[in-house]
Amino acid sequence: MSLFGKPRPVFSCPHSLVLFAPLLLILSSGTAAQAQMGGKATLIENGTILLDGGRTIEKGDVLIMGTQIANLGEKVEASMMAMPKKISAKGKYITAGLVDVWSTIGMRSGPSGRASGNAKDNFDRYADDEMMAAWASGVTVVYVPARVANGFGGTGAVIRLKPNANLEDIVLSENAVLSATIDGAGNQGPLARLRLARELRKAFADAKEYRKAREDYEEELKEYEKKLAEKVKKDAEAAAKDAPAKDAKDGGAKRDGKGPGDRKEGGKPAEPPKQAEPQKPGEPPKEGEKKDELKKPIEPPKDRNFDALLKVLDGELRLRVEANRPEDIANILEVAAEFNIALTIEGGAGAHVVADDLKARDVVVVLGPPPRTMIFSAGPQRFSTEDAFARLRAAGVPVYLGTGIPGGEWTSPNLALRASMCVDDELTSAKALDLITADAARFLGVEKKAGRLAAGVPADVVIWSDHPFAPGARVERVFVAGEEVYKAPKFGGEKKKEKDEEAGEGEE
Amino acid sequence: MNRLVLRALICIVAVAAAVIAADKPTLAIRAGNWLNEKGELADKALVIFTGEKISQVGGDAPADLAIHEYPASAVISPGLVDCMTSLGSLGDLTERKSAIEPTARAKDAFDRFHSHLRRAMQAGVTTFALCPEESNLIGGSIAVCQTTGPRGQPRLLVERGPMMLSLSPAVYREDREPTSRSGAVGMLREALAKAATGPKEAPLTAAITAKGRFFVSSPAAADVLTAAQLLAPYKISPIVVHSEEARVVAADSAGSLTGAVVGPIDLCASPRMAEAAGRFERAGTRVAISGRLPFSSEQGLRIGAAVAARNGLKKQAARLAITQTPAEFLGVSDRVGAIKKDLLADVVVFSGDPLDLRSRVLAVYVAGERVYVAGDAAESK
Repeated sequence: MSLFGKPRPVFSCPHSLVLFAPLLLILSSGTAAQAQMGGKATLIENGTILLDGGRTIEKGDVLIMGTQIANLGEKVEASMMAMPKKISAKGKYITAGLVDVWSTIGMRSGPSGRASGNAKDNFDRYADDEMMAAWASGVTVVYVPARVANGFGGTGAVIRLKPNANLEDIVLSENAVLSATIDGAGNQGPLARLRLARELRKAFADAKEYRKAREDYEEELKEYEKKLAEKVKKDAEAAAKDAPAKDAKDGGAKRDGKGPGDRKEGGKPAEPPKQAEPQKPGEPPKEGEKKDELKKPIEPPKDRNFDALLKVLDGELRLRVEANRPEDIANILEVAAEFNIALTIEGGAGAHVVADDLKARDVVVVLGPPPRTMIFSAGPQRFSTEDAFARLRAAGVPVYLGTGIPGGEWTSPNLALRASMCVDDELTSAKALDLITADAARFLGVEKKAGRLAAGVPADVVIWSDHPFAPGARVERVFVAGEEVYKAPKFGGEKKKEKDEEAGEGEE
Repeated sequence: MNRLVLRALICIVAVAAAVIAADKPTLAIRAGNWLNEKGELADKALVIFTGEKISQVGGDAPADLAIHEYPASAVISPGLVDCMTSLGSLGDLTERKSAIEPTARAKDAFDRFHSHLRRAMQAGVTTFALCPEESNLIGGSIAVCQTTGPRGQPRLLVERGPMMLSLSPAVYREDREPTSRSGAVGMLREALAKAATGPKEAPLTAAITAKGRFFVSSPAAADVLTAAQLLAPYKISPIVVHSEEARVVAADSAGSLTGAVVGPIDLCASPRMAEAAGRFERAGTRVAISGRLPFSSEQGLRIGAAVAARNGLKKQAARLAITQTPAEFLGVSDRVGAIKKDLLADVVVFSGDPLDLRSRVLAVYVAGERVYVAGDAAESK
């Protein structure tokens, strides 16, 4: 017998339960989501959280675990095991990362200029300076078009601006939109632009012909295979009938049950049944050939460009056309109506002139920057006006804000300022903020991956010094997929104040 | 004799009545806030006009005075001032035959009927500088103008404002001198030295002698330092027109400049453009933001100030950068640029902070008259 009595399992002892219970409680505290998520943890505390739909949480916390938001609300607790890095957001505002629905960040060379091109292939994952400019404006997700000067450029891509990441980790969507441009350089005359619109129409018409040719080929191939099978069967039956007479003629040669076309032992390999030369679908029989001779149809060549256009025709892809002049937009509307295409107009400097037509055909407009000069230009920006957004909204046209193609050196999107300029009696600040976050993400089809602050959503979070639309509001910190990618530089006069704020942060 | 005395008495009474009438307040405007001389938003905004001038700020309005009332959220601001423009110019502002044209006056190209003037006024810009272009070493005198004036007529405030110099590469030409930077700096140095001892009535001589204001277009960081060096022998500190490389030159040039003009800064400005104003300001150089109208949109001044305020420029300095500071640079701060007694009654009523791009222009007053009102602004009692 043991000195301490009969040994018992640990957890069967009531005393051990009392000992272990607090530890169990501590370990199990926090949400189930926290338990599931791995990676480092960050707790942003005590800020004003601006959620979509105009909801606000005063003195709220956001808990980031790994790449996702684990929890948010008033007084969020994190488990001790998570050991989150704590960041004080007292007096600050917290929003989702902004979504730019039309950007050229990170785009290097132009795409191939074909409908089968893909914008993500031209995205530079190491465009750190450009990403920095975007983060400094609070932008974490962008849509980049496959842009060429004229015509189809390929499919655009929605990209999360995370530095040094694999492409597959940051491309949120790559096959939702086909890009096209009418006079992207702004230097085409009216006849040339009309020709461009006609070429787009012809491309869709040719795509339909291509599909018809492929469908005809598939049918003819089926027919051919069916007939071939029948012929083989007929030939086999005929050979079986002829076999006894032939055996008798050959002097009782051993019958092995094989047909006349089969290989004989030690003999030459049997020849396959003779077929006529393949016939192209719809082609009449050649001179000298029998009418009922079997011809294998020639497969029409596959064309990835047409395949992409067919996706637009079938409604799988939306067509996004960069066009600014009202007449160019009107031409594109006709093409879209003829082929029943879901259309988005990009740029749209003159879209408000044809707003009623856009509304009638459920067209969405992605508006580029407001006019940058007072000087009249007869080019694409001729109708550009500062109240384009308000006029399109008044006409009932869905409209979103994009940075567009500013030209020259890389720039800051300043989306928050753009959205603030749209605020009026009809559009509140809350709705304007949704326009560049949740609504923009929904428009791009990535609402589950970006544009919102909610548990389970990737942690694209921005901390602002003030409400994003308030004068002087600065982006202070940016998190992309849970990783802190940007911290605003300190300015001279603010050094002492920021030191005081950091005292409570718990940073290393 | 009695008739003569009577006539004299009548004249004296008439003159006295006119003088008394001229001192009588003509209009008051009241809103929730106003922009004071420190660039801060102050409450209890009441501004009283007497004729063309501001006669009272704050306090109470006389009982029988017409008052234009605006919402509690509205802000009364000085009219905006753009200190570097080609607004309302009739044709070119540059004489191309020679790179040195000190006698040229921008005011001779001022077209008071230009459609851009009204658009700028409706955006809140009441005063602007019409500047010779930057393709001449010495471009001539800047003119200070107003987008509108008494009886709705745009007017000239100052014919011969600051002198415009340039170290921009636009100066180098193949069909005339200078053709290079070293040639440009040498020519400018020589021209200044010659003018310093020239006839007093010559514009450049007068400007140097009076230690007037010199605007120097200085695209590169080195140009900023060169501008200061060229004018230092005459004990003049220039106002440099510079944005791109403020991050490297702001500290080095502090103390040798009267000020810096930054802009245009639009919504798509690069980070170094956006932070230029803040860099100069923190280095101790006063900064004005220019919209370079009409090359930017009519909202260019406010957009520039808003972008700069998000990139290191203090909010108070940003508000002053489009009102009081450019007025000082142009030498007209005793007339416009602030809401202050005895200054011209040029004010703009915004629906909110002028730095907040959600704000709209509700009304514009120039020389004591309301020259523009937006559709839903409040009317007088």
